[in-house]
Amino acid sequence: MTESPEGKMVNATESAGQVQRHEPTELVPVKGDESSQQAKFEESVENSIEKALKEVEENRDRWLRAVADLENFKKRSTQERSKLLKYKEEDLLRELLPILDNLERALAHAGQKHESDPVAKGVAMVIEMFKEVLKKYEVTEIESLGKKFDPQFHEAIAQEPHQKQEPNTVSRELEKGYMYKDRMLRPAKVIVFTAGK
Amino acid sequence: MAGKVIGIDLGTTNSCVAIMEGGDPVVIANSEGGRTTPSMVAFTDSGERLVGQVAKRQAITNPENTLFAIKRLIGRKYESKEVQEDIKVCSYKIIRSKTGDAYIEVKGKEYSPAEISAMILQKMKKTAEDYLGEEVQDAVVTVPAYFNDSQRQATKDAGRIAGLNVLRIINEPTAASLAYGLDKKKEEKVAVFDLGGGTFDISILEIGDGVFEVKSTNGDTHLGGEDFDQRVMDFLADEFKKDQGIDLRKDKMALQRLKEAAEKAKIELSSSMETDINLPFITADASGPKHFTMKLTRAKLEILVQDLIERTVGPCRMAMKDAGLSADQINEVILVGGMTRMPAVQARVKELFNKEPHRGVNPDEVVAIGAAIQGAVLKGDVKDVLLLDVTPLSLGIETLGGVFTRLIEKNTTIPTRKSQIFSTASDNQPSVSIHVLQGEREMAANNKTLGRFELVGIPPAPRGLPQVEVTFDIDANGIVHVSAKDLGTGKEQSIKITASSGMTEEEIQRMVKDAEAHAEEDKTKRELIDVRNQADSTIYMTEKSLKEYGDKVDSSVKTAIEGAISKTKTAMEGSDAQTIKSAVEELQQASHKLAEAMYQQASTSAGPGADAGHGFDQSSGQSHSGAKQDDDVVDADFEEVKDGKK
Repeated sequence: MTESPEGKMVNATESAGQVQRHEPTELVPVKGDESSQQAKFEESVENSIEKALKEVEENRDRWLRAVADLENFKKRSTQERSKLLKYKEEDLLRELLPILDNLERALAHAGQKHESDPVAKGVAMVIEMFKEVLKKYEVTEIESLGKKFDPQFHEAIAQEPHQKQEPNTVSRELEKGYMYKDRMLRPAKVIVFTAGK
Repeated sequence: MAGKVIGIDLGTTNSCVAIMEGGDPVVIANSEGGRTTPSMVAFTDSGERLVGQVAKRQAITNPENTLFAIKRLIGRKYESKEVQEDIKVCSYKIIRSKTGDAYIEVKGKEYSPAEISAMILQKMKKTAEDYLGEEVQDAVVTVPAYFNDSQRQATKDAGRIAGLNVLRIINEPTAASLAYGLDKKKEEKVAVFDLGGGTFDISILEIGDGVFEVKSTNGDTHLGGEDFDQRVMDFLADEFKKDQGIDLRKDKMALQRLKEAAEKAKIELSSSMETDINLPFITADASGPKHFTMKLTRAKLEILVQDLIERTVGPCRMAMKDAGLSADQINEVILVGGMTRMPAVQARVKELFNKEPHRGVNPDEVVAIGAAIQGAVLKGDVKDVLLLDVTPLSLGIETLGGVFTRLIEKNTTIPTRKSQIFSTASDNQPSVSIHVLQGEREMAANNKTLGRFELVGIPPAPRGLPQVEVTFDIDANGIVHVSAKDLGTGKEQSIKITASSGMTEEEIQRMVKDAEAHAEEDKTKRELIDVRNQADSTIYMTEKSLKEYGDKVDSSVKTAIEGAISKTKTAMEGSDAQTIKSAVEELQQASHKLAEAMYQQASTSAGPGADAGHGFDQSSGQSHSGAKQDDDVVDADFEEVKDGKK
C-alpha cells in the first residue's frame, strides 16, 4: 500500500501513480552487519593492494640498485684489471733490485782496478746486462745525489752536518731508488745535509 | 642515507680503511699501493703537509715537526701520567692547552691531537674516494676498548674535522669479532689478543644477541713487533761482531740493511723452519769487503723472543681474572695484529686459552674490516642481505657411453640457467632419454640420479642431425627444472626436481673427495669413451660415403677402406684408447682417397651436397650449418634407452 502525496491511501494494484523522482539526499551510511563486513573486506583489499604496490616499488628499487652495483663493480674490476696488467711485473722487479745492489757493491769494491781485473770487468758486464733488462721493463733510476731532498722519492736514513753544501740536499746515496713506469718502485735511501750552522 | 660507509682502523702506528662491496669486505689500498698507511703527519719547511708513508721517509730530517703515535695523546689531559711519560721520549713538542689538554706545537702553531688525527683520517677518506670514484661522507671509526669518554669524543671530533660523519665509534676488539662473524652466535665470551707493531692489548668481551660488552682489558703499551725485530737485529749484529770483529751498528747503511734483513727473516720464519740471511758487501775494512751470511732457524728465533712472548701471559691472566672467567669459560679467541702470525705466538695463545684461536682474516686488516661491516649494518645494507645459495654439486645429464656431461658446475650461485644442444646417437632415433644426475664423477653411473624423462616424436633423421636443446633452470628456491626441446618440431618435455634431495653436508663433501680420488681413473675411462665415440662417428660417416661413392674409386681403395673400418671396429671392442686412435687415423687416411674421388665427381657433375664424409665433420647437409656455428653443439650424443634398462 502506498500513500499518495495527498494522504489518501491508494490501492497500488488499481492505479500506479507516476513514479516520483526524488533528488538524491546526502549519502546515508550503510548500516547493518553485512554492510560493514563489505566495507571491511573492501578496506582490506585496498590495504593489500597498497601493501603489494609498495612492495613492488621496493623490490624494483632493490633490483635497480643491485644492477647498478653490479655495473659499478664491473667498471671497477676493469680498472683494477688494467692496473694490474700495467704493473704486472712490479713485485718481481722489486725483489730483483737487491741483487743489482749487491752486484754494484761488488764492483765498487773493485775500485779503480776494474779495468785490469778480468773478474771485476765481468761483474761490470753483468751489471750492464741487468740494467738492459730493467730498461726494457721501463724501470728508471731516481736521481738523488746533490738534489734537494724530496720525501716523495727519497728516504732519509741519516743526517750529516753540512759545511758548504746546501742544507736539505742529498749528501750520500746509500741505495738507489727506481721508478717503474710512472710508479715508484723503491725510494732512494739517502743521507741528507742538515740545515743550520 | 645515500653513499657508502667506510670502516677506518685508526691505529697508533698504522691505519687501514675498508668497505663492504657486494656483501664482502674490501680493504682499500692508498695512492702508494699500501693496504695500510703509517699514522704519521709531518710539516715541512716549505709549508707542505705530508701524511702517511711520505711523512715517514723524512722523519729523520725533521724530528720536531714529524708527528707520530698521536693516539697516545688524543683526549688526554696534559698532566696525565701517560702524557708526561711520552713527553720524555717524544721528538716533537707536547704542550698544555688552555683547557689543560695535551696539545702539540709545530712551528709555533698549536694543534689538538684531534686535528692531527683528522689529517690521517682525511687521507683514509681520500683513499676510499679515489677507489670508489664518489664522495664518501659516512664512516665508522675504531678505538681501543679502554678509551674513556673524552678519548672517544676527541676521536669523533677528529672525524668531523676530516669532513666525515662518524656514524659510530666502536671498540677494536668488537670490530675484530664482527669480522669473524661472532655476532651471529647466541651468547659468547670472546678473548681478543692484539699484538701489533708497538702495543699489546688483550680484551675479554661478552657477546649476546648482537650486543657487545667489554668485561675487561689489559695489555702492555710498549710491546710489539718492533721489539721482536730488534731482538733479531741485535743477535745478527752480535754474531757478526763475534765472527768478524766489526760492530755493524756503527755503520748507518749496514744497520739499515740489517734491520730489513731481520724483519724479512722474522716474516719468513713464520712459514719456513729456517731461512738464509745473505748480506754481501755489508761492510769493509783494510783487508777488503766483508760479507754476512747466516742460517737462522725458527727454533733459534723462538729462543730469542721467548721472553717477549711471555710478557703477554701476565696481562692475559689478569684480564681473565678481572672478567671473572677461566680459560675454559672463554668460548672463542681472536688474533689481531701482524705479530700474531708467528707460530710461537699462536702456540702460546692456544696454551693460555686451551683452544685454537681464530685466524683466516688478515690480522693487520681485521679491525678495519669489522668497522666496514658495522658501517654496512648501520646503513641498512646488511639487514636486507640476499643470501644466495649455491649448488653444492654439479648437475648434468648422461650422454653416449654412460658419460656424465655437466651443464651446471658445482658452486654456481643460484638462480641460474644453462642450455646446451645435443643430438641423437643413431639414425632415425625417435626419442631421447634425459637422465638427470648430480655429482662430480665422470661416469653417470657413479653419480646420483635426480630424475628421468623422455622426449619423443623426433622425426626420422640421420644421427647427429636433430637438435635437442636441454635446459637446466634452478630457481631461487633451489628447485631444478630440466627441459628438452626439439628445435625442429618445437616439441618439449620437462621435469621438476625439488632440490632437497636430502644430501647432508658430509655426503656432499664425501662426493667431492671421491671425485678427486678417482679423478685419474675417471679421466682414463672418459677418454676411452670419447675415443670410441669418435671412432663410431668416423666409421658411420665413412660407411655412408662408401655406399655413395664406393663405385667411383678403385677397388683397391675400397678394400683398403673396408679393411680399415673392420680394424677400427675390432679396436673398439678392446679398451686401449691408443689402439683405437691409431685405427681411426688409418681409416681417415684411407678415406682420403675416397674424398679425392668425391671432389672429382663434384667438379665434373653437379652433385648436390657432396661433402667430405670423413673425419668428425657433422655437416652432412645444409641444415647442419646452423649447428656448426653454434659453440654449444656437443658431439656427446644420447644413448637410446629402451624400456627395462637401468
